[in-house]
Amino acid sequence: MIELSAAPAPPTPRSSREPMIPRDAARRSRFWFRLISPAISSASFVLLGSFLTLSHGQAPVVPPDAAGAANVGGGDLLRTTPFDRITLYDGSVLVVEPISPRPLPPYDKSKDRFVESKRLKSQRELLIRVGEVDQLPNDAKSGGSKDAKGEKSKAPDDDLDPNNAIAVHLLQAQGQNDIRDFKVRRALIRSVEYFEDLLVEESNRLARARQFGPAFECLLSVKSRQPDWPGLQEAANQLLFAEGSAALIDGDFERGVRLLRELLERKKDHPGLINQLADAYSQRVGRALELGLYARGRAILHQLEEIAPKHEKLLSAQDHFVSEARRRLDASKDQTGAQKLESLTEALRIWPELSEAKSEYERAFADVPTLDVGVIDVPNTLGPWVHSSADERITRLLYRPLLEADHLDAFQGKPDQQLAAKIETTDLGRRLVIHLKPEIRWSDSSRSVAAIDVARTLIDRTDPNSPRYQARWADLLDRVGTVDEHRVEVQFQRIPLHVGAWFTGPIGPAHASEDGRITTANRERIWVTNGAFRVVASSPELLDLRSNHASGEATSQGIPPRIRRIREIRIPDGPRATSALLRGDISLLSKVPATLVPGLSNQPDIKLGKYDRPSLHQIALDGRNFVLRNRNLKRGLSYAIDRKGILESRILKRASDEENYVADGPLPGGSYANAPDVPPFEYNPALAQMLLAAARKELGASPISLKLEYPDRPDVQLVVPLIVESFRVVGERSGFKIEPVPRRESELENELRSGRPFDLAYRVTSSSDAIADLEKLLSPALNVPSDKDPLGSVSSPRILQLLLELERASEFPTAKALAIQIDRESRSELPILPLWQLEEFYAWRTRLNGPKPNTDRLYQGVEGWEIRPWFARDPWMADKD
Amino acid sequence: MRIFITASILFVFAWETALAEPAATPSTPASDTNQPKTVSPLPIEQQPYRIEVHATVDPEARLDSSKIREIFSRWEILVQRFVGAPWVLKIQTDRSALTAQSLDDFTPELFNGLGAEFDKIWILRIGIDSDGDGLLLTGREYDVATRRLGPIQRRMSAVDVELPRTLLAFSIDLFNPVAVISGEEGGRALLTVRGASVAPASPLGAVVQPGTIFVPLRVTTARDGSPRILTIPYTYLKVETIEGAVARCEFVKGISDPLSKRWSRPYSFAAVGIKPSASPLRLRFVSRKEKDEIPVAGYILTVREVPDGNPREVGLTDRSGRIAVKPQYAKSLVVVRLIAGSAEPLFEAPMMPGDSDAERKILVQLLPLAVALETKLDSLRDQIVDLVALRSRLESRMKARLDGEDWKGLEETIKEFRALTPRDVMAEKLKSLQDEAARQQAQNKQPVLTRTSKARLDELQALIDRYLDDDGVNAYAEAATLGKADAIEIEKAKSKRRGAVVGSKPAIPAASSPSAPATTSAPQLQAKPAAKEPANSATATPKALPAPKAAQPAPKAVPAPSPRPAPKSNVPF
Repeated sequence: MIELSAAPAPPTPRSSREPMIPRDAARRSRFWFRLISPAISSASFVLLGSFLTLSHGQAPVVPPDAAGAANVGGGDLLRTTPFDRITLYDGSVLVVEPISPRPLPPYDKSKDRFVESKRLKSQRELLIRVGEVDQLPNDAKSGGSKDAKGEKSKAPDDDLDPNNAIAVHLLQAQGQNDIRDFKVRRALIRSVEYFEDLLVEESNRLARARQFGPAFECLLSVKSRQPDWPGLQEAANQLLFAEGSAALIDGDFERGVRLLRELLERKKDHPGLINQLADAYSQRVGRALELGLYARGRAILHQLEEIAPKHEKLLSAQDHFVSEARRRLDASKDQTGAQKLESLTEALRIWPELSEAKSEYERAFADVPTLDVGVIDVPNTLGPWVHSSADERITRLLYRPLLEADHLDAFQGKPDQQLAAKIETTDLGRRLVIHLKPEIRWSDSSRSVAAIDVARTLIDRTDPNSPRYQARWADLLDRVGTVDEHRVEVQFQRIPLHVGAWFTGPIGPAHASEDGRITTANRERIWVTNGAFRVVASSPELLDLRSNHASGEATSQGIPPRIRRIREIRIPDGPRATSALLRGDISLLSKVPATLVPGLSNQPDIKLGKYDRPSLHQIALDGRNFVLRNRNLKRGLSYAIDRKGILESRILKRASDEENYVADGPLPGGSYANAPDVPPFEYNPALAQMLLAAARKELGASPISLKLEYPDRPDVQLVVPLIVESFRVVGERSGFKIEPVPRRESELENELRSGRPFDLAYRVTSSSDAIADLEKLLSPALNVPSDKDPLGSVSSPRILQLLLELERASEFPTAKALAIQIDRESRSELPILPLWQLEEFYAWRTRLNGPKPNTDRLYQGVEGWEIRPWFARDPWMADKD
Repeated sequence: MRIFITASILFVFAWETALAEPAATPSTPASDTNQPKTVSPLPIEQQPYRIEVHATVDPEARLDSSKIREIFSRWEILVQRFVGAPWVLKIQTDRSALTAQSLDDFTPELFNGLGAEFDKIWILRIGIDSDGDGLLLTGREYDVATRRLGPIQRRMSAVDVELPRTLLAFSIDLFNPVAVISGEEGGRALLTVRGASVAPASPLGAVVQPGTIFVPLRVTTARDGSPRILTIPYTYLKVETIEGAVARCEFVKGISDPLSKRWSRPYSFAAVGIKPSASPLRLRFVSRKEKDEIPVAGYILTVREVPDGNPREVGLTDRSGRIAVKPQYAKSLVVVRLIAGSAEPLFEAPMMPGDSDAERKILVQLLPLAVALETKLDSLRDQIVDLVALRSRLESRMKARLDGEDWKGLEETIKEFRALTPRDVMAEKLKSLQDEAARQQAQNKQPVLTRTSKARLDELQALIDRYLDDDGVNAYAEAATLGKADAIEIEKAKSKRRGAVVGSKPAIPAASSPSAPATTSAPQLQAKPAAKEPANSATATPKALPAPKAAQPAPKAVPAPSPRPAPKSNVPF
């Protein structure tokens, strides 16, 4: 064993042959020490260096990757090779590999002194090198005493008490012999700085600098090395508190509360934690109350209650809720009918446990049974017409058709909800006499529906200046006349196919203006309707319908409608609409996004229904823009869309199936006129790129800029960015630009059907009868007045000619053959870009009794639906009961 | 019967003489034109036009009688100065039956009994323009001899000071010469134009000029002997040259033999000039299905200017088969064409813009089977073009692989190429379409293989023959096989040489060994990185293929693949 003196020694000049410390290493060492331990004076460093120079000709080298890293940032310390720092009583600092055991066991000085007193040792003993007894380091040779040299063989290194000395391994080898391992007596060690402590210290520093991520990593590193390291838990708690508090200050409530709750689980009595949480929660609760997110506010309140049951902030927030609910309750006392119900519903939505409101609510609900419906869009402009899918949904509630459907029962007047008592056909169907039911009254109670109303509606449909204009009808109709008060005679220019389909639309009042409204004495313009419901209020976000039989008037069956009021609330965001249904804010949801169907089907209080008709997604092209009549351009756009990929990755989030698949033409898959053996549209971006380049050349080499208007439906909003990106990618070289423009669905469809020019329009349509609907599916503007160039809107002349031929077809086989031909030829002529077809679902809460599992229209049979008074209680309160 | 025929002949003779009946002396001063005098008969070309002008001024024009008199007086002076002898004007400003009627409501019958001593009657109105601030001149011409009512002409005058000059220009617009078709020569009609030999005061007053358009008329009698003047449909005569009083005219016709001599009754031919007007051209296209008239709806109408203008779309026929072509869509004669589908012409004929205000009903034969065939051919053409584009892209890639001696990549590309629809499938589809069309034509007795569809068929056949041959890919395949074999052989030689070195045989310097062909190709053993596919492969055109590089220096003679013919680079992209 060799004992080396580590006592301060006069500096010895370095040997030129054996540079003690490499210049770079020395510089790094100095830098590192200056940073990591300002307390260590440069003198000490010099001393240490001198000592090592004397003893080994080497310095305790800081590893290159550790040099200067410790204080630069936690990240650097994390990347450093782990090390410990030992400071001796003489001021020397050793940077060593992590020592063991960690931390060192307690040191008993007296015992050590006793053992040491019996052991032979050098006077300058400081470091004891392990092994290699025959090799002395240079410093020992030069600086050590002869006694020591003489004693080395007599003093083996194993006579050291293992409790009083530690083995250290320098990070860098020393001298010619690469000496790294030494033993150091505990008596000589002033302090040991463990790597874990350095990391914890670094973590604290980073937390103060609000660098929480790296700070957390430092602690994680400590945990991975020594899970039970003293001070680690405390540091982690401090970090959680600091980060959580900072997140709350930054307005990131969710994150802040999550962190503080984590801290709460770790240490409930962390100083200031409860107050911090209570502050945050109460602020959040107040904000939720302001925004009308009552359920959310109560949920937060409930969380706070679990944390601090008696906290003053909790009690204050609860009071705030209750007083707000009570204010609504008080207000309801002066109200009646729907207003009263609304106030009470609001009061219970704010605080469902307001016991005095419950009975009031049930009484008010019994007076006005209200159905709240979440819809993608409410009608843009209401009137006796159908200009959008929202109109299709609503007009049947407001206006009765002449015929409920194009079938024999309707011709015989059997359905109750139609105006016609009977229709007589003569002259092979070219002449009709419509008999009207006498007892149906207009909602303004002015008179019953009469022949003049029917005649005016039918004639208005031929007037290009009327919003009810239908070019096909104008072309078909010869004349309309009233035979008497309840009989109308209609003469056609030719024998129409499916004549009944022309009479399934709404019939407006002749004594009102074109939009079906009259001006009252107090200058209000109210809708006059003859359906089961009337319009009370209409806004872009809400439609309020009230039963026409609210005053006790009986329906034709003698039973008043169970639902007296329908409120359609526009919720274009799919997940938000689903949440509203789950919360109970709405009782019926008109469209459930495909991805949310499985989730809703598992809910116990929710039922799902399916529409009979699938929705058809397509991109309509306006042929009035000459660019869009270019065949290569249309084909290029069609090839650019990865239909299957988009459908499966974005809409379905699963593989396509028999109900949801890529469309092969304008008609749905199950239609009798769907052409068989038509291959689906391919995705070929390379070909699309070439075709767009060719199109640009044909169109005069100028850049092509188009707008893609799309409805802000949830399913469409998911896919349009991908479609636009596809177009952009393939059209980049050709200078093809496309600008997506989101629009409200009913507004967009209304404008398209009124003949406004467009470029590309994403449409979601459906078809009940292929022959009747083909025109609507292939061009939204084909039925508008001639000054808007309706025929030009079809981007393929061939398809247009076939469509017009189909219009004139009077026999079903001919019409069917033409429809199949149109479907087949649409594959190559591309009057539209078909995308896919999807099955559509609706959902309702079980409080609503009446909707069927399968339906053609949302409100089919609404007159017989029942709804129970119900409001959503918080689950924790229900559990308590 | 004989009496009847004699009467007919007498009528035609009388009509011809009506054109050549005695007229006012050309030198009659304007002041004397109010009372035209009958003088000795003159040949038609020497006779001036005696014109009665029925002019009315709208009170809203705010022109008093003295001003009106002054305007007409100055107009007459201008007519004398610029037109001169060919016109003999008599201006009638008193109210008459003609002045009360709307110009749109005029019919030739309204003029019966009028104009015995005049050749033309002009109805002229001076009113105000509803759109602007100026004065609007409107008017129509009635030609007594041909009993033809000209189109409504319109012209604006900004201020009343300009009115005489505007009236001069307007009267030139109104005026249409008449002529007798004296014969045909070399496919041209010869017209003797009335007044052509009367010297005008200026070139502006010439009654006929090169470019003047005439409508040919057949003058004949009905069965009852009553006179009939029939407009020969879809035929116009465009003056090419004028020799004396004879104008040599080109036929612009939509029917095969407009001046047919196969006519059962006595006849002669005349012609009346026509100018474009501001009236829309109203057409209605119908077809017949059994007894019903079916409107030809949704068909494209194109026009092109005669003789060789570019066709342009002017609109689509509406649901009733009607189309109103906007006025001033052309300044002279145009050829109107109705197109079914995207290219099949159903009707093609020359027309004069604003020829008539009345709607013209045109019966056309629909060709549903031919149009359906053309649609299928369009679809097939799309498929072929797509295929050609894909093949071209793959050929570019193959060339790049070959240049880079990436045999594996080349083989993969060839495999991909072979997976495309083969040429025979396309050829078979085309043939089946052609056979089906022929069968339908024979079976239904309806035209299916029309000139247009035949042209399409030929075009597609040419497309298949030209672009879908497999010579190119076969050459690449052959080159790939040989190149790969070469590479293997060279590799073998190299490994053999390596084995020889290991077996302690003295290494022979490769360069000095005459029997070491592999050494020259040794550097090529390391396959070059495959050359990148051209960045703009979308627009790349296939070029003649070079011989494979590896094949050229190979010990064995490798035939280079035959280059593709140069014209094939004209891929439609």
